[in-house]
Amino acid sequence: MSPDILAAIFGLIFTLMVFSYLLRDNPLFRIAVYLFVGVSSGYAATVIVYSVLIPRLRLVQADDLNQLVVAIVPVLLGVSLLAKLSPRISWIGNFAMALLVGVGAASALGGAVLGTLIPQAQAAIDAFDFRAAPSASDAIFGLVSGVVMLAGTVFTLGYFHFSAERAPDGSARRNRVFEPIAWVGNIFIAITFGVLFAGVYMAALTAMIERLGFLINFLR
Amino acid sequence: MADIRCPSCGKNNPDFLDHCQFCQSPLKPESILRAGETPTKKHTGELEPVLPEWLRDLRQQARQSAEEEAVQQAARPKEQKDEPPDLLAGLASQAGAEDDEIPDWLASIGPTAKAASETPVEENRQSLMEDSEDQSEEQEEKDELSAWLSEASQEPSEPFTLEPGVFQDDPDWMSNLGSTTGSPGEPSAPKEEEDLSWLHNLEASAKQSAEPAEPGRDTSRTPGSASTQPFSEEQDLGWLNNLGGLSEPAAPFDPSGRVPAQDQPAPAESSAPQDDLSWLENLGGTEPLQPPQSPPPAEDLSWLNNLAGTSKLSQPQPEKSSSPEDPGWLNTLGRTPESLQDEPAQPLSDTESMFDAPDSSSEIFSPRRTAPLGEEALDESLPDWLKSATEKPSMPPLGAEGLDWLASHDLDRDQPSLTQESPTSPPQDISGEGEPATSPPSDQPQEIPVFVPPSETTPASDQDVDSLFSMDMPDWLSSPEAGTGEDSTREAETPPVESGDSLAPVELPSWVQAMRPVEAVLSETGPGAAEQAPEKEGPLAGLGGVIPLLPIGSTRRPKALSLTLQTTDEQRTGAAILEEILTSETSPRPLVAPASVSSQNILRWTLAGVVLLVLGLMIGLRSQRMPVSSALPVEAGAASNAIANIAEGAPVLVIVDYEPARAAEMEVLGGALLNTMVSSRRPTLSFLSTSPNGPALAERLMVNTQLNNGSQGVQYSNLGYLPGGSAGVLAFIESPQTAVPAARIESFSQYAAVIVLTDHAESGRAWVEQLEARRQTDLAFANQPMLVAASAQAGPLLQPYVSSRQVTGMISGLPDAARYEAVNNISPGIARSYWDAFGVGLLLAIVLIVFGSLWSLLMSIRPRRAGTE
Repeated sequence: MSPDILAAIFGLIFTLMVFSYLLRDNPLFRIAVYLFVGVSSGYAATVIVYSVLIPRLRLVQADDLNQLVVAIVPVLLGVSLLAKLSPRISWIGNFAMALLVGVGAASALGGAVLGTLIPQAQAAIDAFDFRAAPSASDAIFGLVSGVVMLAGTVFTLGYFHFSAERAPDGSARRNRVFEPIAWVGNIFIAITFGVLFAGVYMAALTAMIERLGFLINFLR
Repeated sequence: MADIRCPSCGKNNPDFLDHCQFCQSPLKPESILRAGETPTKKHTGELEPVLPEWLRDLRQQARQSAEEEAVQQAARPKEQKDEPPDLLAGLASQAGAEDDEIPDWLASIGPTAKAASETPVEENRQSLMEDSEDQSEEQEEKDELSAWLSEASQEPSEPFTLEPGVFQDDPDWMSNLGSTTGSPGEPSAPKEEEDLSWLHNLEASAKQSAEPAEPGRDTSRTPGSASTQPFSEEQDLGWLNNLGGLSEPAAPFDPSGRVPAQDQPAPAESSAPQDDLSWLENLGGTEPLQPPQSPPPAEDLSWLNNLAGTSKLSQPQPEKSSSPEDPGWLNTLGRTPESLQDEPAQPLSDTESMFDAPDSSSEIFSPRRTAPLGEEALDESLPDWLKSATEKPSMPPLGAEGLDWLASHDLDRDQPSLTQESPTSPPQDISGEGEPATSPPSDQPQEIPVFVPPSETTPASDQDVDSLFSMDMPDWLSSPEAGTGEDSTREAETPPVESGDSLAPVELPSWVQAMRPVEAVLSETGPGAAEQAPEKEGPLAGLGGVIPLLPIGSTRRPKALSLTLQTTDEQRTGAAILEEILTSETSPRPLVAPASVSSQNILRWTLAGVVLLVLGLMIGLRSQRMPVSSALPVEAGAASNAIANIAEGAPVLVIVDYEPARAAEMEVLGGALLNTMVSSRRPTLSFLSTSPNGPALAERLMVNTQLNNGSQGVQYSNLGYLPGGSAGVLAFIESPQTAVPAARIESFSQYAAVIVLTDHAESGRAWVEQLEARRQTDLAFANQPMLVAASAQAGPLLQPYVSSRQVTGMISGLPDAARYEAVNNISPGIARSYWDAFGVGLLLAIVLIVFGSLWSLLMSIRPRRAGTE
């Protein structure tokens, strides 16, 4: 029996085990899930060792002090993270953890500012730039699109403005200005969630079609 | 014979003396026996040949009688004495046990222990009384001196030897004090026929001597007759003197007195019996009896002076301190065992004439009978004492006040006026006899009464004697005995009841302290021990604070604390709420199963069956009838254009950032994009993933999209996993080879295009952000296209980056992929194969959603209508 056939058989079995969740939560589904998680973790560990650590250590030349330092420092920091397994000596890995969090936060923050906030703000402003439009229709479309985008942004942000004043009867009531903005923003949010749900459904539907096609093709 | 100079008084003494005959100070350092020490056994039997013939005969007879008596006593079982119900009776019986430890105070009083251990107590008392009765009868017919000598002749003259281990074992030495006499059964008449002329001569010579015999002269008068045996006998009497409260021997030592020497001065002999009787008087003085004659107070005082003078008569130096607390008294007691052997004998006529106990103890004290007596003492005091002792028992019952006399020593010492009124004052006898008791003791020691008058006024009865000699005297009770002879005499004369208020608080002995109740139990408000008056009677007489004034049951008990917690109403309310919460948490709640579970399951199973059936049918039929739009979205068109602008054979970086669950969708998207690019530009693909599973998914992508088909000749490299998230992406953008050693390019800008395959917006946004930041600083990245193949769920979230032109082109979901394939003529594409099923599935979903919404609407309308109708 070829490995492809064995892989197809195991794929069929595990696919049916996952589909058994339609009945109810059952051990077969759990076994399949645990196996997927375990196999994924094991594969990830193997990839890290053979794709990250070993290739980097092989590049270190013993006679090059700079390479040794560059190679040893990350190794020590990585080993110090193992101290996090024990609460008594977890402080040893604090430095490496601080380094990771600091570098990660700095890079993420820099990327968010330079890659998201400023460009998105610039794009929202450019939506009303008719000069970039090649034609009048494009300019009008761009304007409408910009207005809708602006309206959607403003109304959605207005929806999340939860400040309210207390009415004479004691009930909380939004400001009269923000109340219609929030209502329009609620529509935009509903559309967004609908789009996201549709995307999730389409993604799941695609995966289901693929699995059903696999089963059908295997049974054939 | 060499003389020894006394280190204390400076007078010369014979070398065979251990103590100064004038001041009784120890002449030899080794002769000092202190309290607690064991006396050294000394052999004095070698001096027996120097004794006169008649004395040796007496001693021989005494030995025989002692042996017979010892045999008889050994044959008889020891009788148990009935102890009176007093507190110290138990102590006496306990002390008699052989297993018990001997206290120090008892061990220090050694000489009598041996006699007590060998002689039954009961027998001694009987002999005491019988002897007293016999003497009283004979007193009318015989001469007093002759009677005494006849009694004395019955005692063996054998010198005794001390055995420290023996006398320390017997605590009843007190009761055996009187048992030193011969056995009562022996007749005394034959002894009266002995030649007593020597004794009369001795008395006559004593009268002639105006001053106490000096040592040098005494020794010269008895040059060759001196022997150590009489010294030890006199030492016995001195021990009695010490026991009777006299710290110093009443008479100086006279070596000639141990034998019937004519020139023996009388003071020592005359004072010794008096001291013994004074001691007995102290013992029996607790129970005052009505004297036959009420002596005047003046005479009492004079008598007391005489008594005091007896201890000072022959002492050239002032008497040592004899306070009740003086520990020197204990030294005197401790010295007595040794002095019994070494010091010259003093007459024991008082005890020997009274008691006739032929036991071993009689051997110890028998030589005292041979001691010379003063003329006046023999002629006057001895018969009276014997007569009164037998006629007037005055010892109180032991259970009542048998021990009060012990405490009365302190009481009487502080109240001399009471002693004048006491009916039991001893001067009655002395004054009654017409003898001056106030004569200077130093000059006329022979005039001092030999026997203490209390023996007449307080004759001991059987019960009194039992209580007297059977009791065990603890150290704390014996300490008051250390007073001077004068004080002790006065104390003995005064009844303790009358002087109980003046008792000085004494330090409680350890055993009494142990009997005291715990102080913590006592009431704190009660008077302290110091505030309590000392006991006036009973065994605790003179002790204060032993028994609490308040009964133990009435002591103040600790204040009862209320167990009820003082809380306010608010606290109670809060506690009740907390209790209710805890109760509700711990009490089981019945799970209310929703009634619609079964219907929901059926609905779910129905929907799942419908979807599976429809999709399976479409897949099984391999239907491709549904049309695919040829119009590409703007972003998809931009992507197609970007791919078209890629240089042929240029390196293209493909980022695989999706999970295996989305692999089917992503492979459709990636397959459409990559197939178009590979087929048109034949780029060099480099696969990199920020997910550990990315490298495997990249290989799967190449297999399922048939990109690794040899026919296309695609070249690709799987760079593997890029760790670090955003930081790793930034590092790889900064330096690809540094971040990923497998990278073959030196700069990230060398990639002709970057294609990101992602199923979630975060991973795609990280690449977009980091690359956009790099673009702002490095113009080389400005023309680098970035294409995104996003999942249908991630496409809407990445759409803003497409609108902002940060992402050059993007295809999202299966519809874009199908269109892209259709536009680029990719056949048979995977997207197209899924398109019919996908379309049916979307329609089915729409139908089900609409049908479900309508069903819900109808279900909500029906109740309203029913309510309206």
